Amino acid sequence: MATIVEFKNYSMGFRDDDGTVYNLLDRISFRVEEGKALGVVGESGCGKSMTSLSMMRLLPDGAVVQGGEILMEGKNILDMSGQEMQALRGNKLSMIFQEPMTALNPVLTIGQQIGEILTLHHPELKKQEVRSRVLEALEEVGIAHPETRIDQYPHEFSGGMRQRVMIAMAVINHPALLIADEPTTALDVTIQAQILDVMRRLKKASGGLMVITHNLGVVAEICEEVVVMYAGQAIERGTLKAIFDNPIHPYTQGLMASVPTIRSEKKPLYTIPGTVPTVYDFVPGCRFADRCQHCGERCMKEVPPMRQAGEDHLVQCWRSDDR
Amino acid sequence: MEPILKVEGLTKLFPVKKQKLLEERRFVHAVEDVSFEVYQGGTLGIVGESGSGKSTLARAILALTPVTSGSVFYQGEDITNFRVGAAGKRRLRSELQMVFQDPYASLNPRMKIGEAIVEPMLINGQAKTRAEAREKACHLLETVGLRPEVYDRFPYEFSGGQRQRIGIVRALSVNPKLLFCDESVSALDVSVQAQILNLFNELKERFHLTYVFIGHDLAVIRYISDQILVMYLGKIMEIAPYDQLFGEHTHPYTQALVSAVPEPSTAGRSQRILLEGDIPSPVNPPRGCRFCNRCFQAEEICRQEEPQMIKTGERHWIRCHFAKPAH
Amino acid sequence: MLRFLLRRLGRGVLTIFVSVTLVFFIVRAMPSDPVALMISPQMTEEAQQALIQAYGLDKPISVQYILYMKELLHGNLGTSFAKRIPVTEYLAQKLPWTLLLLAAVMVIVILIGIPTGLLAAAHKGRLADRVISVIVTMGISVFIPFMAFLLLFIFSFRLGVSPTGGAYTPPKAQGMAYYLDVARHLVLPAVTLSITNLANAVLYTRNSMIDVLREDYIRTAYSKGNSRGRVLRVHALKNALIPTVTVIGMQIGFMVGGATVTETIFSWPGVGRLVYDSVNALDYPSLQGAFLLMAVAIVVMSFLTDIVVAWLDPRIKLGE
Repeated sequence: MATIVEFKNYSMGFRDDDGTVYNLLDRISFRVEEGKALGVVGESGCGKSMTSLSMMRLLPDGAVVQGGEILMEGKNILDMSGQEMQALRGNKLSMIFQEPMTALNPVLTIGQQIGEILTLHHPELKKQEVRSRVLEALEEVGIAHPETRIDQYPHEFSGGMRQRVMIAMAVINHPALLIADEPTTALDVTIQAQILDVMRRLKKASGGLMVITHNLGVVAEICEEVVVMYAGQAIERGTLKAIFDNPIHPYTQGLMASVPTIRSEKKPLYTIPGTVPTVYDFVPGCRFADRCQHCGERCMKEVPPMRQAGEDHLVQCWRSDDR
Repeated sequence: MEPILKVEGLTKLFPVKKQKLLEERRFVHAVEDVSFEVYQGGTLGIVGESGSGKSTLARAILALTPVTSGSVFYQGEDITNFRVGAAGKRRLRSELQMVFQDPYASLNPRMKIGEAIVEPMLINGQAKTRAEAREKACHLLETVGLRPEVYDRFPYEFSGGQRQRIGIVRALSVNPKLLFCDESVSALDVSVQAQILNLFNELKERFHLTYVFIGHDLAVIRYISDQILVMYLGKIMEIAPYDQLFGEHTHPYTQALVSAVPEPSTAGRSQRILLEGDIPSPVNPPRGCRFCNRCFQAEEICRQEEPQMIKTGERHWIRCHFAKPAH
Repeated sequence: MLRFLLRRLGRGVLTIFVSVTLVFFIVRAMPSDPVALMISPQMTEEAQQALIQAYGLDKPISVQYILYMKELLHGNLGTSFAKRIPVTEYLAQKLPWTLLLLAAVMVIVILIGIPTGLLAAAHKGRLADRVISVIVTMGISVFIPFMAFLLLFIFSFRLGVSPTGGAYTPPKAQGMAYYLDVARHLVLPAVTLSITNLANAVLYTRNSMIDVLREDYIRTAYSKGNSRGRVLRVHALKNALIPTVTVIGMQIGFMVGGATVTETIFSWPGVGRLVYDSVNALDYPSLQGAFLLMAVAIVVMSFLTDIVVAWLDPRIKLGE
């Protein structure tokens, strides 16, 4: 199985107004395999969005890459020129954003916005071909009456429909990697189910899928592999089954136990004490240490190495035994 | 036993601005013909998607927006629109409290946390002097897991979870009996959400509270509530005990809602019900049953005739032509 | 659409009516008597009385107002006290010169202002932006008469490359020579008048472009593989121009009423100069005519602006 994208000890941070650099992502490593969906899970401030923007090389001003590599089909994208990145974006590498209401340009028609991504990367296409491929794409993501819809503007679409448009746009060039950053968070639950259904169907249209989300349910619905992030560290990764059925890192265990599910019993929920730290109070060691019930002296000082915890299961924790 | 809160045929319509002079007057059917009861010590969960009217319902009950028609009874007394005289109104404003999604938005950024808590206590007469109010506030802060030192700090110094605790303290400070929680844990991270949900459960025992919990996340609402009210486009589709939300003996919309919730487990799921289309606009709700144009069981009658609420079991009502009445 | 037109027409007429009324009374509140200025001691008593009656100045103000409004409905703006010709004719002589000046200013504002604003936004916080911001601040705060005299001093008196005033050198030349001569006269007043307008246009374009560049859809555009230039051109420009169009539209409306200070300093024979002369001569009808012209221009421009904005922004539907 081919690896589409690999993060290798990638670190990045932010430069403050006074010039101090604060580290956010700390030597994270994971892979997206061809034909598989990887779920990047974590709470707010864990760096999951920075992970996707790093992949696109669209980091905001003030962000600083501090080390490591991001390999796309073997080539480090961090070394690529601006033009090489442009050729990659929207073509081999595309992205769906969280807010369907604001992610589309209000003054351009849906057809212009989807058509653009085709013509940018296939300038040889004729106008008529572009239009018919856009119509096809709209149909594919379940938009009724594509012939009329294609000439409408974003404000004439509901949130769910706009997210379908975003998906149509993202998959039209059959990208090697599709990144979906909280693709359903802004949507109602019945609409979320529709969008997840579309994404599951279209997963095959792209080489690999990376889903960034805080919702463990969404991960379970569409992903085969999972990486759990906490405060900028990728603390545990493996197959969906390994992570969900046998979580090892105390944070992953706590996260799984603290979500009420639709069939959960009425007993007090497990809680992780404290709150997610901000960039300014990260400790030099394991960043979960001060909330961890198993915290030892070493945990505060040194980042644990990633160790094999089973077949297709890696964890970054000093505890040697599994629970 | 008399219910602590009883709502009868509550309707709230918002007029839509007319586009043309001769146009028929149109309304947003925010809440229509809603009736339910909540008993002392219970938790009613109200769940719905956007446009369901769940938040408007709470605001109408609390007289934050005038009711178009229908009645609200609190401990047997008609309190519709809080037309109960000045003293009565003050009592209601302290006994019925609301906790919002983001308490930060309701806190004055330049006012110390303590001041924000003490103010309503002094206004409502829960404390005679500032010192007494301060003592009580500090005690409450400790109850919800905050150090009393936070009294002198400003809202921006707190995380989302801490702000929600402060919001809860503010509501509790005036000795409420009935607490309305509108999306009170929606904005919180999963690990913090669990802390706050547990806190709500503890406080309920400790202060003998009754909750009306409003939200879009069925898993959370079901976890905290003992009775669930499912709303769709301003109308109640179903009222069911929390453990009877599953299976065929529920409203088709409830079935779809339950089925739509993604479950964080690796066990394969049963057949998923996918609803077609979008939620219609509450300005122009479909004829007949509100849910008919998205319902997978809809037949001709559903498009023609609005179904009534049918009692299908103990504390269980369904608004569907195909619901089986209890014997 | 028809409903929109009718409603805008109604609103425009109301605006004009209110402004005409206000101007009518404000002009008459000036602490001088026009009769004293019009009448020379050589005139006979009868001639004086005839003149006063001809201009209706013997009647009470309320009656004068009603008469004026009645004439206005017939398109008659009265007769200029100073020039003794119909105000419409007087305005018609001056308006083309103001429009010429206005067109020159707009060309400068649009060709220089908008690109400069975009440039500043694209380099936000960097050297180019800071330099432009300093110049813009100076442009907004500069005292126009001072600027006008400074330009006159440098280019006309010191360097002698520009004429000192007027719109052409008499006697009027023929053909191409005439146009070139007018163009030479046009430069200084146009530049003077452009300064504030240009600074405003740069400022508005820069700020709205910066806002637009923060939008989510700009990130989407980059994620599609657009180059920076294309993002700015295709995705940001149209959105960013919406507020600028509104501002420029309003500026044009005001400027039709003439740039009194600039036109006076450069002796430019436009409506602004007419206003200045009319104030000096207590020429009520001409003043009223000039202000009416400005009111009409503003109403028309705000209407045109709305149409252009609706064309740029599909979310805006006319008539809603």
